[in-house]
Parts: sequence; C-alpha cells; structure tokens
Amino acid sequence: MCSLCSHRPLSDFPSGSRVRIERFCDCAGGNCRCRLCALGLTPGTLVTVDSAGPGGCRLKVRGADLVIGRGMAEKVLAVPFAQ
Amino acid sequence: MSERLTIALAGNPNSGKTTVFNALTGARQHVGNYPGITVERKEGTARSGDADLHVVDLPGTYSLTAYSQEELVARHVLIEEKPDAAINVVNAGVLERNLYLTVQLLEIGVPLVVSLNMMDEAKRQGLSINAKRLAELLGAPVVETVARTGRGVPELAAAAAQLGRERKGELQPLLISYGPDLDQAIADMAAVLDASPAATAGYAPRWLAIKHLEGDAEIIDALRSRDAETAARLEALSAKVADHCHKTLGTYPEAIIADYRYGFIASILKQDVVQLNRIDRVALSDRIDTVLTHALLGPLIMLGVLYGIYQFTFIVGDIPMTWMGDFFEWLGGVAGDALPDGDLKSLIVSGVIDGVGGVLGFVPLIVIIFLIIAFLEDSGYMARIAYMLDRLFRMFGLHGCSVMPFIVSGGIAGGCAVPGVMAARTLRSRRERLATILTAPFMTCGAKLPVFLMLTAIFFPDNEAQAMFIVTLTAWAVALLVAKGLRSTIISGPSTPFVMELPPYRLPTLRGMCIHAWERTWQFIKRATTVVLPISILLWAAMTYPGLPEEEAALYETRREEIRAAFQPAAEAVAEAEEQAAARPVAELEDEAAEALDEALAVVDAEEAMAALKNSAAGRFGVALEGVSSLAGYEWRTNIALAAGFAAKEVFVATLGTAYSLGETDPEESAPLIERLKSDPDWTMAKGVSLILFMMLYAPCFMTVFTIRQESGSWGWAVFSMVFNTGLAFALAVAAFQILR
Repeated sequence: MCSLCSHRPLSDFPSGSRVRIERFCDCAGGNCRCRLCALGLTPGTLVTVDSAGPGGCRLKVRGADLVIGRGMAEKVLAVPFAQ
Repeated sequence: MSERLTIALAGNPNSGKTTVFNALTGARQHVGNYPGITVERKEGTARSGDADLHVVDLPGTYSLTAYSQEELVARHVLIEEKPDAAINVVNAGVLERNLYLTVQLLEIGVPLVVSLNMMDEAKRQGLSINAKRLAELLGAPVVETVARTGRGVPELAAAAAQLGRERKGELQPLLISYGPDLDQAIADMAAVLDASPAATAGYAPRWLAIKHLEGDAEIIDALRSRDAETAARLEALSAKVADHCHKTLGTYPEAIIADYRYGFIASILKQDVVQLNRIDRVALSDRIDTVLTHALLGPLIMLGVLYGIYQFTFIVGDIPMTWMGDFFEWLGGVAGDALPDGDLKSLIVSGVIDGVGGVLGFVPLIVIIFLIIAFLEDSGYMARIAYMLDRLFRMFGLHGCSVMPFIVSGGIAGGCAVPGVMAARTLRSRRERLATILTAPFMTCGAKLPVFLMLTAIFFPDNEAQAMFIVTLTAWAVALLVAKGLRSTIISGPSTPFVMELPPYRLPTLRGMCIHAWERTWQFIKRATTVVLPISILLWAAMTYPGLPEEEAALYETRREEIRAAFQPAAEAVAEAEEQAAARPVAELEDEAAEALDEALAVVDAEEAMAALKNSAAGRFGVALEGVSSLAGYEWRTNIALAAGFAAKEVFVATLGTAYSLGETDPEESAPLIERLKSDPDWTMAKGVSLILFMMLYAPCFMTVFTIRQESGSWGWAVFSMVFNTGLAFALAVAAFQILR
C-alpha cells in the first residue's frame, strides 16, 4: 500500500539485514501493538534480521535473540539502516 | 514470634524464575489453578530468619498488559492480593528487555526486590553488572543470584522479608515522564479518575490512566462497568491523545509509553551499570547457530540428535534395567517362600511386588531420558528445536510451542502426558491449545515405554532401538495428522503468532541436570506408588474374585489326588530299588520321583489358576469383549491388560505379568514374561504390531483424561479424547492385524 516509501515488513528483509522499525501496520490491533512494544519492538528500534524463513522470523533486538511468527513480523514495518 | 509474609515472584519467561522458586521453596510446593481459568497457580513456603515466607509464583510474562491470561493473573495478584513484597527475577544476560517488566512492577509501586539471576552466565558473556549502582538507580534492592546452584537465594529471601517488614504493604509507585504530550493527558485523566472513587475502586488513578492510554481492554471494560460517565470522559481524552499522536508523530500512545520505558531503562544502564567487555560467547552462539539452525543442516542434525538419544538410552539404560528386573524377581521369590500359600501370598507377590516392580524397573530409563531432556533444555537447544519445528507445526494447524507439550508427553520417548497436557498452557489460542492437548497423549509416554519395550523385545529382538524409533515417529505422524484433522473440522480457525526467546548456548551444569531429572523421576515414582499400587491391588482383586465355584475346585482337587495316588507306586519302586542296592544313589532317584510329581501337579495348578482367572470379574469382562477384540487379534488376557491400562498404561505389563504368572506355580521358576510370550504361539507378529498401534493411540490413562478435563475446562473434551482415541486405535489395529496375519 505504501509504494513510494521504503517501509517493508520485517519478514521481507533478507538474513543479516540491519533495519530500523518505522511503524506498525494499520492492520495490527491494540493488543498486538502493545505486545510488540513489550517485546522491545518499538518504532525507532534497531533490529538485526537473522533469518526470515517461511515460519518464524528470527531477530536480534535489545540484546536478545527473539523469534516471532511471520504473522507478527508482517505487521512491523521497517527501513534498511545504513551504519 | 514468627511472622508470615506473602512474596510474589514475577519475571520474564526464560529468566530462571521457576528455578528461583524451586531454590526458595524446595519441596514445600503446592500447585493449583486460578479459579475459572487454566493458568497454573504455584505456591510454596520458605523460611528466612524469623519470617515464614509464603511464595506465590506468578506466570512468566514480558509485561503486565491485557495481552494474555497470564499477564492479567500476574497483575491481579500484585494489585488485589497485595503481597508484602515482590521478587522480580531478571536474566542478567538480557537485562534491557527484562527490566521492562521491572519498570512496570515499579510503576504499580509494589515493594520490589530484583533478583539479578544467571549472573554466572552474564559474566561468561563478558558482561559485568554493577548491582549496587543498579539498586540505587531503580530504588529497589538488587541481589545477585545463580538460582541453578542456589547462590544468593538465601540473601534474596532475606532482602524480600526485610523489605516486606519495612514497607508494610505501602505502595510507592515510580513516576516516569512520558513526554509533554502524554504527561499532560495522563494528569488530566488521573484528575477525572480521582473525582470518582467508584471508578478507581482502589487502583492508583495515574496507573489506570496509563493503562487506558495503552488501550488495555480489561481496564477500559472495568471502568465502563463501574462508572459509565467517567469512562466516557476518559475515552474521549484518550481518543484525543491517540489522534494527536497519530497525526503529529505518526505513532501510537502505547508505542510512546513503551519507548519512554525503554528510554528510562537505557538511561539507567548507561550510568556505569553495565559494561560489556567481550561478546565472544554471543558471537560463538551465533556461529553455532549458523550450523545448528541452518535451513537444511539444522533439521538433519535435529533428527540425528533425536536418534542418538534413542541409541544412547537403550545401550546405557539396558544395564540398570536388568538389575532392577532381577531384583524384583528375587524379591518376589523371597516373599513367595516366606509366606504361606493363599490369598495373602497371592496379593503380595502378584499384586504388590509384580505390579510395582513392573513400573519401578523402568526408573533407570526414566532417569536417563530426563537427564537428556534437562541437557537439551539447559543448553538452549530445546528452544531451537521449537523454532525449527514451528514451520512444520504450523502446517498441521498447531504452533511452534506445541512442541513442548508433545516432547514432554513423550515426543522424546519417556515423558508423561499429564505434565505434557499442562505444558500446553504456553499456547495462547484456545484452538491450538485444544488441538495440542488432544493429540499430545498419542506420544510415547514413560508408561507406554515399558509396554513398547516388552513388545519390541518379543517381536523385534535384534532391532529394538530401530523399532522403538519407528514407534515414536509413527506416534508423531498420527498426532500431527489428527491435529490437522481436528483443526480443519471441529476446532477450525486461524493460527496465532509465535513468540519465543532463544537463549545463548551454554554448557549445562551436572548439578542442574541432576536436580531436574531427579524432580521428574521422583514425580514418576510417587505416582507409581500412589496410583499404581492401589490400582494394582484392585486389579489383583478383580482377577482373583469371585474365584472358582466349589464343585469345579473340587474337580481339580480330585485330579491332584489321582496324580498323587499314581505316584505312590513309583515311590514304592524307589523303596524296592533301595533294597536292591542299585548302582545309582538312592537320594537321586527319590528326587527324580518328587520332581516328576511336582511337575504333574504344577500342570493341574496352572490349569486351575487359568480357569479361576477366566471366571474372575476381569476375566469375564475380557471374555465378553473377545468377539470384537479378536478382529484385532486380542484374546481375553490381552483385553484385561488393555482395560487395566486405562487406569495407567504401565499397568498393562503388570497385569499381563499377573495374568500369566498366576498360571505358574513357583514364582522362582516362572520364566520372565517376555520368554513366556515369545513361546506362546498366540503372540504373532501381526498381533504385536496391532497391539503396539492400539497401545499408542487408545484412550489416555485416567490421570491424563482428568488433566484434559481441567485444561480444556469441560468434560466434553475429556470424554471425546477417550471415545475418539479408542475408536481410532481400534480401527488402525484391526487394519494392521488383518493385513499382516
């Protein structure tokens, strides 16, 4: 839906990408947003995508190794982060 | 005078909270349920100095939102039960994320002690944490602990007791600034709430305001029901802020709140609290993961690991198992010799020793399997297994977290479906949880293991390990296919997202593994003695009474008399031989004659015992079912044993043992059950395969059925599991028998 900006769901980035979370998809409900925030996936956070397979999406966020389901990862929109 | 203090234990999943709980309370634990919901309530007691501590273990959560039942329960206990103090177990290795919960606990204002756990692990990762500085900045005592070894746990208990005594339940909420936009809104909303005591109902207005902005469904609903007018005003304020955030900042109030909390944490950590010297271990963990969770290599290695576990268990486990078997055989012999013939002897030897021995004989195997599971869990590999299997499980309408219930139930042979079904609590969606609960009992639990071991020893003596491996894979296949079937028919619906933390790899400590394995083995032993012993005795009674009618018993007695009479001339012949000073020693001839007499009598005794069993309550049941069960190849004795297996699967072996040993006269000379069945022409390969399938799939034991009722919240699902499983098992068993015979 947002073809002009470079926001892409976390699940779309290749392994090893360093990305910054921009916002959540509008389809994410309040509880889901709250959950993502509690997990440390707030807008502005830097995340390393370790592997984004068809199942879970593996991330490094705030010092932890976290796996979230693809459905959840699709709701988190991020942009590539250049060092 | 000793005082009593209530201490709540909070923490993230993976923070070692359960280990802290165990270290604090030891064996003084009680597990129950929160009323109306399927969240486990664990309580225990501990002593610290003069104080008696009543410890409530809260469910592991990342936050205190309304996202899950666990989070709701945790905050209800903290706010409504008003513990004297709370202990927050924090994984020192991932401090930043773990402190998120800490901040929320401090915002409630409950007297808090932080347990900085897994400090050894953090040090090995090159992290050094200044606990004193952290305590100053948080405004809460911080105690360094290594719960795995018990280090720092007494100090933690003492700190919690002291804080509880000092604060006397007074709440001191931490105030965090949420930035100019939200702070103003929070203040406005708190003022509205302050004016309505009915709406706050004892909760702190500021806390309620923050939760309202976070979109907390439970709080919003509660406010609506308590004071509709105030709730409407709050919702208007809340909506205004949300709109403002969205328009000007492109974000949401809950994200801003989380951001400020993380900002608060970051500001603490920056003030000389954490120093990272080297990150070798994390890097090492990552390097290991490039192989172990590799898209192709990972699953292959995982299969290899699972297969290796089997080989190891069977090679090492066989030695002590033989010892245990020999011991109980010897014990039965000693008891048999010491007791006079009759019902008491029969009860002790056939009911008690055979029954319990049949189960305890497998304790060494259970110890080994639990040691391996403890190794997998403690090393961090178990979490990777769940991660890798999520894709697979999703295909069958389950969840990556379903792997834990499956593995605990016996996905790696030797679990137990009772804790396995309970482990399904980690699943959020009711549909996936139900599908997991209903299919996990298909796995090879520790109680089915003896049955499978016996059957594979009889029918596949040369490929026991391979046969067992196939048995386990079959159980998985059936469980997954049935799950898929259930999820596309009676419990259909979408899947829920998967969240799991992957801890860095670590080398488990032997002590930690032993404690883990011992706890579970002890549970098994307790169950074996408390459940299996009474059932074993009950079954013995069912197989002994009402006994043979008198006239029939008299018939056997007559036959015995005839035999004795027939041997009388033989004895005379011996006397003659003595007179003739035969070449062979007299004693030998006498022995031979006596032996022949005993043998002849034994045949009659065995026949009588068989007839008696057939006439007993259990026998009549088994015979009545023979017409149907013969389709799958089972005669009445197998039927009795299978029916008994519903009480507890391990009883199957004991019952079959009793059923066959009752037909023997001298327990010392009775060949082991395996030899007995091997020589029985009725026990064909077709029957073996059919029996393995039936045993794998039929109704879960009554303990599991009871647990399913508890966890699913209805007897309907419990009854379903019995009827459906038995029907499926019978259909497959009949098919297998008819094809292979």
